[in-house]
Order: sequence, then structure tokens, then C-alpha cells
Amino acid sequence: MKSALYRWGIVLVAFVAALYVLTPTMLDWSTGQLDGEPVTTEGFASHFVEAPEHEGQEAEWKNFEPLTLGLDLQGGLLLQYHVYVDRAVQDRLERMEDDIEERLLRQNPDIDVDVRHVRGEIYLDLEFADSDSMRLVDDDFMGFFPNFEVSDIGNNTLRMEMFEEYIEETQDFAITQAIETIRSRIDALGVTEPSIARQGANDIVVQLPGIGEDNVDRARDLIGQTAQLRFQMVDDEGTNQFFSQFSGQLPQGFQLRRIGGGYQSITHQDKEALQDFFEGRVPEDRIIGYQHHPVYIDEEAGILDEDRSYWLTYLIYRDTEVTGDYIQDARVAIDQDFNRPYVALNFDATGADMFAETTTENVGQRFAIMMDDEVQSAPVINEPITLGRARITLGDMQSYTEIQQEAQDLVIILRHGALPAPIELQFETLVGPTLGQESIDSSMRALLVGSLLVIFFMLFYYRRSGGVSTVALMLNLTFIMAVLAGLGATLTLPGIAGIILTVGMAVDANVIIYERIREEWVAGKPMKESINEGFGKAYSAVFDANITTGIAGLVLLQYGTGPIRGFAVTLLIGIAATLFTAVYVTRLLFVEWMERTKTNKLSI
Amino acid sequence: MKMWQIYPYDANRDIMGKRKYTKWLSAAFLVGSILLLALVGPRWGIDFQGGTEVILQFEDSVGDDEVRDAAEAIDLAAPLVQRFGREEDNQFMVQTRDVAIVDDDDYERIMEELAALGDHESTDPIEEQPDRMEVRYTAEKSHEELRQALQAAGLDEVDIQNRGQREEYWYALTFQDLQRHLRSGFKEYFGDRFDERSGVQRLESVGPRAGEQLRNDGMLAMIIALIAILIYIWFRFDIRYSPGAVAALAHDITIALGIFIILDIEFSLPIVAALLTIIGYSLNDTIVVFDRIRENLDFAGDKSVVEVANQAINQTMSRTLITSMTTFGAVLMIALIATGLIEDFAMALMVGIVVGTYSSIFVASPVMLKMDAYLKERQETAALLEEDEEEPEPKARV
Repeated sequence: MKSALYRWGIVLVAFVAALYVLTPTMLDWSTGQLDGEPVTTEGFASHFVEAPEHEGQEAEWKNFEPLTLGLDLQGGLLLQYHVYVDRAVQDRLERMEDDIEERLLRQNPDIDVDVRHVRGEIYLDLEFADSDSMRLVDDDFMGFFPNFEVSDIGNNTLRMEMFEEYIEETQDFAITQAIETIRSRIDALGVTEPSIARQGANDIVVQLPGIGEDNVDRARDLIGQTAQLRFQMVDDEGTNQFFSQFSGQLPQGFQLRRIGGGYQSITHQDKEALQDFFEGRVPEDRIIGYQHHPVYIDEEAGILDEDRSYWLTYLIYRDTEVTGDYIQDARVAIDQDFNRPYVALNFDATGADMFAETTTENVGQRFAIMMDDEVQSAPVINEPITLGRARITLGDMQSYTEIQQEAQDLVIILRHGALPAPIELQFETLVGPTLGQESIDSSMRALLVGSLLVIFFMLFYYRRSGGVSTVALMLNLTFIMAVLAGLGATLTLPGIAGIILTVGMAVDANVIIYERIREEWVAGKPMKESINEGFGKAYSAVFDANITTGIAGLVLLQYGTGPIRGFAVTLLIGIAATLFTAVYVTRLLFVEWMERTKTNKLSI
Repeated sequence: MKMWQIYPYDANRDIMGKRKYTKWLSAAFLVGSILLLALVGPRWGIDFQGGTEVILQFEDSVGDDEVRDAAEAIDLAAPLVQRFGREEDNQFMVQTRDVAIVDDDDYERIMEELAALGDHESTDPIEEQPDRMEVRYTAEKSHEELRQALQAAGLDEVDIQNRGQREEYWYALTFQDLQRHLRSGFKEYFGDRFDERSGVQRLESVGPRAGEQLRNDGMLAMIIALIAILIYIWFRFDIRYSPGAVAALAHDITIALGIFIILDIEFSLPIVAALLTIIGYSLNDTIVVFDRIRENLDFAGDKSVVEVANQAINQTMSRTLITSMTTFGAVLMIALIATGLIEDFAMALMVGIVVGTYSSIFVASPVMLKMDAYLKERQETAALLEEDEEEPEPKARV
């Protein structure tokens, strides 16, 4: 029987694949804890674990990671934030009302114009007293607003509408920036394996497993602060004198280095160490700005060499020259002459005046673009920038793509400075480690006892056929775990509930089939025919029942949040596994059983 | 050969005949549930109304009243205190509608005090972050001055930071957060019996607007799921079956909600998941019965639809009973063993299993019969009407 061989082949391959995917989980579990850390890299385990290259580095899993436990099971802090990008866009438009009026009045103080923004809309209406003054809004004027399209809507009114793509791009930037900010702040906390991920369109989920009780408050405080973008002057004259005074008395790990432009800097691998070092050693009106200097092992793949990367420091004036609120817009542009990307930065009317003053006074000096206490970029002011349109050129020695990347990164930061999208803590879950362990224990016990109860009933009621469903059920659970591990999904408390429900559904599928076989049998049909008819007629009911539950699961996955999604994921996987095991595998087992048995008796 | 039988295979009891009585039973439950929903309303969990929920671990046995008093003493809005788990665990669940320690009244006081410092330009509470505020002045204020003003408004721990640029006197104020307030408050009240660091076993906090959002999302999910399932049934079966399936689901959801109110089950996200599972489960039952009716109708001969339906219900009865009982058993185990979140979930499922099993027999099928009768009647009238219309013409020609 060729087809039987083929069918068994499918089951066998699926089973072996499942076992393979689950091996890391079993290796991890062999210590009694699912903590994601490999026990050993020797022997059999070496097929699944990559031994660390350097001493001190953690061993890594090769192809598949072990099943990870959700925060509700292993303890930790989960924070979900919503990023209000629309609010940011609206705030921007509101601020532009005054700006546009001022710009127009500067060009011609006699005109009569009224600029209005209707809250919720993405345009501004400029109503003029006469059609002549509408000519002030020419290409040159619109040059200040490259992301707007102007149209005449009659009644001496012009409408400036923000480009949809610009809003979408801004939205993406806002989230990227928020994630970056959160990540750099979390790094300072030293939590192991933090996860900061985007969820849906506008949400950010921060997961800090096993965070210490002391750090919880700090984590929330740090993340909650809205970063403000500031332009501050670097103290070029004082820099070398300031840093070199520490020469010779630097503790282990610190270094006095020469960075670009002949300036000195004190560096260290750890930002926190630098912060501690400079505590109390900086003059009252100066601050230290930090900048990460990455060194790559493999630049293409973005693999950092942790040992050689370091943080460098700048001596910066405490006073802020201009804040990000005055930025109109920032974007990557290409210099046609040199074919090099640069960052084009526009200020609004007020910001332009402030920036003009700063740049006129400080030609030849560096200014720092700061986010929190980190220096994002420290360009030199080449000439006074009076019109509010600045051009930031980046490093000479780099390749086109590197400059392009750097420009893009800077634009994200500047854009965020211009449109600081507020974030709101949506929800927070803190689970203590003991409660997590209790939850695992009790839910696993529930799963075990529930399954055993069902299995006993099946064995008692359906005899040997009950044994067949028990095999199918075991296979089912194996597949669910394997798919969860394979997808890199986390196992949560609601997820376990989903698995328990699947056990019920899987057994139901078998019950439907067995009852049907019994009916045919009672009606007097021979064994083989009863089985064939039973399976055949039960299919539609089993199929429809699972599909409808699957529909509910899909909807939950799409619209649900947090815990509900975990439930939906396991439910959906469970349904797929059920259709495979409770129908396909069970039938195969029955066929095999019939081949072997000689009597016309059925243990069902 | 001996087989265990839970329900005889050859039985053909008149189950559909009971629908005369069960329709009153269903009606009574429905009316009761609707009244409960309208008059009492579900107890919304913090997921849906915003608020904070903590599970506190005490070192020594404490009484419900003590915890309640402590919660009142640290000024929590509408605190709800419940023992969590077994008595010897010394765990309590405390819920409050607060997410921050500053409420609207406090805002007023803070604004007044800050304005009283003079040179005040504006105070902006940050709508999204209830524990933060930004204040601008036209002249410099020292952090000490600000701190004192806030102390006068009743806030002891505040973090003050400068924002803005040189000529601006713009300060960001961060108030002590609720969590720290809770920890230190309970520590102060209970002394040695509460450990400030490990005393909070679990904390969940949902912003009020997030709560509203979640509530809307939950409702939306439910409605979309229902519609999607309906369309599926329409495709797989036909129009006669759809209303029966919907009626059964609406019946189940309403009654389940009513029973949740009686059992005082808090309406939270996991309960929405449970409700959706109930929908799936009840539908499962309904479909098994419908599937059989559909199949039997093909060989029905001159049997009435009522008889066919009755026969289908009898044939699927043993499956219905076995599945309901095993699932109920499994879920019962969860309810007995698991704690907290999962326990409520299991309770909700148990209610759903009972109601769902009942409705697939006594709601879905009768409504399907009604629909069938209605369609047939309409077809007959339509046929009669057509005959009336067609009659004169052919006759005139012949």
C-alpha cells in the first residue's frame, strides 16, 4: 500500500520535526527551569547550542530557541505605551498658525491674513483680505514647507495640506524614535534580556523579565519621560584643558582619547561608569554629553564588538540655545555637486531668529544636538545660518550608504524633536517571581489533571479506541508546543488556558467520530464499513466546528490585546494540530488496526 | 460486544416537543439577565475602566478590615479589597480606580500653589501622563521654591527638572507614582507585617483611556466574530440555519452575562476571551446538530422537518452529553486548581458550557424550525400569488 506508506511518512516527518524543534526546550528544562540558558554546550547539546567564541559571552542557541515563558509566568514588568502620533501632527499644525502669519507679515506688513487650523484636520486655511496678497505664497515661500501642498479653494483662501506620506513617515519615525529612546534608557538599568517591541500600529510593549524590585520605579520613571531635543554649544576652547586634567589619574577602563578635530575626550565602555566618574567634577555651567562609538565585528550584518565599542564624552554648555520645538522639519537631501547625502533642517520663524543669533556668534565652533544627555551629532558651524534653513553634512571618510544611514538616523531624531509624540502608559503588569512560579505550578497541574481526567474517561468509555485518541492527544500537545517554540512565541497563562481548551476540542472531535462509528455499527454494518462511514460522515461536523472556533480565534488575534492574543495564538495552533491529529492521525491508526485485526469485533 | 452507552442509540424521544416549555424557561432567563444588565450592570474590571490592581503579600495574618482601613488611609479612590487565594496565604487583592496619586481636586490645589509663587505663565498637566506636569514662569524659580509650593499642596516627593532653553523658566514636575505610594503607605500602616520590597506580588495598572479603548476593542471583536461566523454558516448551510445560530449565541451571551453578574465575576479582558470561547463552543454544539439535520433532510422522505430535527437531536445526544461532560470536567479541574485570573476564566467557561449545550438543543433548532416554517409559508404564498397572476393569461390563449 503505497498511499499508507506516504501517509505514515507525513506523520513521521511531522513528529520528528516537532521533536527537533522541541529539543532546545527539553535541554533547557532539564535544569528544572525554563530560563533560556543552555546547561551545557558539550556532547549531544552541541548540535543545538553554539559555544561562545569568547570567554564570558553567553552561549547561543543555534536554530531554535527554547520555549520562553511569558512575564506572568516568570515574573517581571510589562509596560505598554501608546504613541500619540496624531496628537503630534495636530500640535505641529496648531503651532504653524502663528508661524505662517508671522512669515507673511514679515514679507509685507500691510497684508491682512487669517490662518486657521481646524483641530483634527491635516490642513491649514489661509484666508486673505484680497486676492493680490495671495501671491505672497509663492514657490519660494512654500520652500519653507516642503511637506505641504497648496491649493486655492476660493474665497481668497489658500489651503495648505500636509502630505499623507509625510504623516505616515512621521508616524513611523515617532515610534522608531520612541523605541530607541526607551531602549537606551533601559540599557542604563542593566536588565538582562529586555524586550522592546512595536505592537500594532502605535503601541510599544516593554518587557523586563526578572527585574529587581528596586528597579521597577526607576524603569517607569525613565521610560515615561518625554525626551526633549536641544541644541547646545560645545565648549571647544575648554574641552582639551578640561579632559586632560584627569590624565594620569584615570581609573582602570577609562581612557583619554583624541577624537575628530583635534579634540580630546575621556572614554569608557560603560556609560554609567562615565556618569559616576564625572559626578561632581564638572563646572556648574557645563554638562557632559555622551556619545556611543560603535565598533563592528561585521559591519554589514551589524554585529557589534562589545569589547571594543565605547562611549565618548563632550564638554557642553549647560544653557540650551534652541529646543526641538522650533524645528519645522528635517529630511535627508542629496548634494548634487558631490553626490552626498546631507540633512536639511528647517526652523520656524522664531526658531530661525534664535538659530541665526547662535550661529552668528559661534562660527567655527561645534554645537551638539542633544537628546537627554546623549549627543546625537556635533557638527561645526561653518557660517551664520540666518534664514532658518540649515544643512548638516556628515563625516567625509565614510561610504555613501554609511552617510545615508547616519543622515537617516539623525533625521528621525530631529523630526521627533519637532514632533515630540506624547506617549501614554496604557497598562502595566508587575508579577513577582514567586507568584509567577505558583502560576506555572498551578496551571500545569490543572492541565495535567484535566487531561488525565479526559483520558481516563475515553479509555473507560471507548476502550481501545480511547487508547487511539490518547495517542492522538499526546501527539497534539507535542505539536502545539513545537509550533509555539518554532514561532518563538511565549507561553503565557492565558496561553495555557488555550491549550486546555484545545484538549477539550480534540477530544470532542474524537467523540463525534466514535459516536458516528458506533451508530453505524449498531445499525448492523460490518466493522470496516462502520469505520469508513463513521469517519466520512463525521468530517463535516468536526471541520465546521473547528473552523468556526478558528474564526473566533482569528478575530481575537486581530483585535485583542496582550493576554488575549496569547490565548488566541495557542487556540489557533491548537485547532490546526487538532485537525491533523484527531482526524488524520486517528484515522491512520484505525486503518492500521483494521489491517491487523482478524475478527469482526470493534473495541469502541 | 459490550459498549458503554450514555444515551441509547435507538432512542427517539420527543425532545423538540419540550420546546413549548423551554421557550418560557429561556424567556425567563433572558428577561432576568437583561434586567440585571440594565439595573445592576457588570462589574467592570480595571481593564475596562482604568485603575490599578495589586496583590499584596503580608508577612503575618491580617484581617479584611485592616487592609480596607489601610487602603482608605492612603487615600485610594473607591478601593475594593478581597482576600486572594487561601486564608493562610495572607494575600489580598486591592483594586482602585486611581492610576496616579494626583486626581482632579489635587490638580486644582497644585495649580493654585504654583500660581501663588508669582510670575506664573502657564501650567500644563500632561494629559497622557497623570503623574507629570509642566509649569512655565516669566522669572526664575529655584527648585526649592517649587518643592515647597508642592509640599503645601500635599505632595511630598517630587522630581523637578529644567526644560526649555536659556531665557525660559520652564520646569517639568514628576510626582511620586502610585506604586511607590502604595508600598510606603502599606508599610507605614502594617509595619513589620508588610515588606515594602517583596510585598507587591502583582500589579496591574490600566490608564482610563486605555480602558475605554480596550472596552471598545473587545465589543468590536465580539461583533466581528459573530458576523464572520454567521457568514460562514450561511455559506456552509443555508439561510434557514443562520438565524437559529445567531439566536442561540445571543441567548448564550446574554444569559452568561446575567449569571456573571449574579456570581459577581468581574468583567475583564480574560472574561471577554471566555465569552468568545463560549461563542465558539456553543456554536460547535449547534453545528453538530445542524449538520445532522442537514444530512437527515436528504433522506427524510415525507417526514416533517420537526421530526427530522428531533431525530437529529436524539442521534447527536450522546455526543453532546459526552463532550459537555468531559469539557465541563476539565474546566472544573482548572477552576478548582488554578487561581486568580484563570479561575474566573474557568468559572465563565463552566457557565458557558451549560448554557451553550442547552441552547444548541432548545434555542437553535426551534428557531431553525420557525425560520423553515416561515420560509415555506412565504414560498407557498408566493407560489399562490404567481398562480393567480399567471392564471388568466395562459387560459386566455388556450
